[in-house]
Amino acid sequence: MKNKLPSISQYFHNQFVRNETKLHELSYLFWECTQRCNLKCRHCGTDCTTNSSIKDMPFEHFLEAILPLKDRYKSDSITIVISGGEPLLRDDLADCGMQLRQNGFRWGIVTNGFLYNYELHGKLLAAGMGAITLSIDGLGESHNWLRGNGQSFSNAMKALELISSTDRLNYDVVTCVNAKNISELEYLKTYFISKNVKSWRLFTIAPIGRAIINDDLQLEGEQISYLVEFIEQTRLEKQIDIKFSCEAYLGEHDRKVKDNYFFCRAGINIASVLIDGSISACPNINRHFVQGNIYHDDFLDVWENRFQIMRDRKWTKTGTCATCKEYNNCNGGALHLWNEDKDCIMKCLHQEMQMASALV
Amino acid sequence: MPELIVNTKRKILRILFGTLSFSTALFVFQACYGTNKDFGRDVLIKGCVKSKVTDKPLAGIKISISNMPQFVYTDSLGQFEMFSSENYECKLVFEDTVSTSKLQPIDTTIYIKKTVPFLNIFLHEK
Repeated sequence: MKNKLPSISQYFHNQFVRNETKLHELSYLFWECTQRCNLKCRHCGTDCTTNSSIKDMPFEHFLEAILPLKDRYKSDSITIVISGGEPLLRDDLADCGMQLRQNGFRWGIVTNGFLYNYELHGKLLAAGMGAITLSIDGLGESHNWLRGNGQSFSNAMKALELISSTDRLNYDVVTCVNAKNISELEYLKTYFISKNVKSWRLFTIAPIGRAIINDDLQLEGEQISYLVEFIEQTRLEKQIDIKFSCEAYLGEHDRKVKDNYFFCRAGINIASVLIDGSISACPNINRHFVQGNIYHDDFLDVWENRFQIMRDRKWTKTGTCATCKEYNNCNGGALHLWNEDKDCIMKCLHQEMQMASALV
Repeated sequence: MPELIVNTKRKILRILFGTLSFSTALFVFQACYGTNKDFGRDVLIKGCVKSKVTDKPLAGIKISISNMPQFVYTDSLGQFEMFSSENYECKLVFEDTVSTSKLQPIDTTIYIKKTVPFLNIFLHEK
């Protein structure tokens, strides 16, 4: 009976996914407010630069596009995640956030923390920021190496001190695990626990954006297995809320490293407004999946009536997924791992772990 | 079938399937590259700052919370809005940060529950 429980719960989870797809309620909205960035990360999914040729989107354009959501949803049920580029480069960030709160939306930011200081912290909190995700990718040298800036680690640490001392914020730290920093995970864990970090999320690096060129960042089968074991073990210790990101299906390990079974909600509960007004799901998804543009489409109409490619994913049963026995549990994995050719998932961690296990 | 009935049925199924899958975080998810959800555990404080002498609104007055990082400045109408954590007793400080200012800073302690009444603050001359 005990052995059957996972498959029974997985069955109901799959039913949940189908039902959720039919409902497709928007509850999570990214705003790519800038493509400017003050770092030059080797793994950047959007290939951002300091002097982006694309101008920042005026806030009023974004607000005008999303206001009709208030008629369809309870606005406080929608979290707006301001991302980039680096959102802290926008001088009007606090003003944008305050106006979002005045219209009932919740908001948070994803940041590298480089510019985060006490004054900015105060301004953003006063403007009702409630969530923040901070990137810390290793101890000192390996973080700076990945981020392409010798000061980035010390600045991120200062940001962490401020963020972790504020009860109001629902924050987490994210680490992009790669071949260079994987040996530091135990040290990072000890460090984060000592700093009272509430929540720690670990990623692998997707082969998209600048990470395609820097292919030495990818983990191999055995390293992926080690990462999964590390998370499993740390969760058992219960000293820090650690989880694997929702980026990949991991088979029998899924529930041991996450709070939930795998479910890519891109286009089902998650949308985005990208820097040029494009309407899509998560910002790291290939831009060929764009569903409209706020400058000539009605955002709510696009959300309600398009996105079929994300809500009916039968097309992903191709390439290595075509013969996979666990396809029904993952529906082709995370959408950001598919490119415009749509002929094969770019990376399947579950498959790589299985191959590594078979070799052992 | 009308859309409302269909959606109501689906919302019931959501709870049923979610419960039977024994998941702990079905309804509070986080996108791969996004933040946690924000549950809005804060309250908006609004008010207006005027001169006690002239009764005119004062622009550029800094409002901060003692021992906390939050701060804002009043606008041209002397008005301000800022968020602070709920269920919290805080001391609001009102001060003109211009070095040559003749206005006396003041503070007031409020207990922040679910809502805070509109604050009318008057600054005296030194």
